[in-house]
Amino acid sequence: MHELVLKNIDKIYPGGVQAVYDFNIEVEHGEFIVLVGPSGCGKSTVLRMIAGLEEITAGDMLIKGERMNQVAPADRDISMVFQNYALYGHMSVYQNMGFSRTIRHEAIDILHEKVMEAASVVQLDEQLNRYPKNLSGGQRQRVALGRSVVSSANIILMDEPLSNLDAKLRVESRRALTKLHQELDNTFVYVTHDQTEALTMATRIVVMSEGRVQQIGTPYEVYHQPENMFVGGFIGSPPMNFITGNIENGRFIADGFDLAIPDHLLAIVGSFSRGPIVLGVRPEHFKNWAAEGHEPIKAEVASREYLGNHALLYLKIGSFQCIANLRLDRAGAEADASELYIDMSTAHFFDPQTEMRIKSQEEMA
Amino acid sequence: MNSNEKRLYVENTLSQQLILFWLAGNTLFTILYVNNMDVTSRLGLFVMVNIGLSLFAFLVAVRQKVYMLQWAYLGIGLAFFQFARLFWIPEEIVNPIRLYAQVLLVSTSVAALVGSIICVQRSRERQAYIDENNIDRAILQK
Repeated sequence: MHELVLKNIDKIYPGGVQAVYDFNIEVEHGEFIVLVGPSGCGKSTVLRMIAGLEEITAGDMLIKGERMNQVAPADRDISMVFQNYALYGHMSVYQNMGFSRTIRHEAIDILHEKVMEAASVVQLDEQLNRYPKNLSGGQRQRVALGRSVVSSANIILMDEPLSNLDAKLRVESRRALTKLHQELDNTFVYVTHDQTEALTMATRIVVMSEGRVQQIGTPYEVYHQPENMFVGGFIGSPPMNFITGNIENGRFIADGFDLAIPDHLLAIVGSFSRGPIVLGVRPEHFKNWAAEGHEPIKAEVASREYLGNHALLYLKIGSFQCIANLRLDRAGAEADASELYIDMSTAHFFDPQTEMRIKSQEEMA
Repeated sequence: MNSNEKRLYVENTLSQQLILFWLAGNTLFTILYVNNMDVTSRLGLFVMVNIGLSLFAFLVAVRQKVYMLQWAYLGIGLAFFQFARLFWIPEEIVNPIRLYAQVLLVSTSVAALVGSIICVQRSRERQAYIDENNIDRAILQK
């Protein structure tokens, strides 16, 4: 049985604004689902509907097979970590973490045991007597997380819990969250606009835009097999480059360059004769050294960002602006960027009308 | 589970509540008493002493909540002082008010005594646990 099922979920606010359109997902126990998308895409609304903080306009929400649309938030067996942590300032860490059980009047021994276990998991054993005002941002975030752990809810919802942390702490917290997920074996549903968080922590990613699901897949699938141009452009930093051109005689022809299309791609897009087609190339698939079958393209380097072991080149190729991400571990790599190669074996083609990726018959099946 | 480990994090609310009971009972006692006293300078002195006692009792309650042993002993003093007041009730206070006042004084002094003895016991056990296990003081820091 699925742990959580969202079936044809719509959310329409009283003013008539529709925030979520036909949201569908089936979540298994122990999954780490990350909802990712730009601001205003409806990801937090979905999370709040799961939590019961927003009413579901249409569709069904099931937890362990039981319909939960009208069930009160407290009875849904879920806990939530908020972006601002929502800690009680007048309570110590111990009291904050045990709050969900205190209000249920649970025996003090059980409460103590649960809080000590959770404190050990989130590494707050030595801060249990402290008040939130005396904790760092990362520690506060762990208190909020610990509170969820103490509640022993099956599903833990998190609404951008790392967004208030600095970059270093965010990296540490990402690792801690992944470890926590492995230790607890609970189902996590996590909302973020940061695609790095999504790629590093998720077992499955739900990419959303304008209230609609764009793609649901593993981090690998979302990155390497984007469903459409939105996903290709949103997931990955820097984003995927899109170049519009045509296919003629087995070659992709665009303003300023033309390239041979590998056989496996030609088999997919060879019959695409509806006019222009969009080539999608990840920045790291630009090379400044030739491998077998690579053809050079002429590119003008508009600017360059040095990033240690790699460099970002802002390119002008014909009339297109592109970003290339070049590794600098080869001799002379930095200097020689005037002639570039595109690894076409990893490229994608998109239909400019529908913006969907053109797939092989096998993928369609 | 060792209950002393719990006491590193859980406050001594029982002692606190018993001292707060003293505070509430003493306030009631003061109101009863003042309504039936002759208006002399003793009345003003009585009110001032009781305001001071109330503030002191509140401090005792707050400190006992966090297992402060010295304040547990002061709580015992507060209980004995309250009991001693039984013998200072002036003649002008007559029954049934006198009886009510006596009941309030006895019950509040018993509450303060029990609360403070509990605090003495818990504070000692907690301190012994901290010393025996070499608990880092940083853990106890607020």
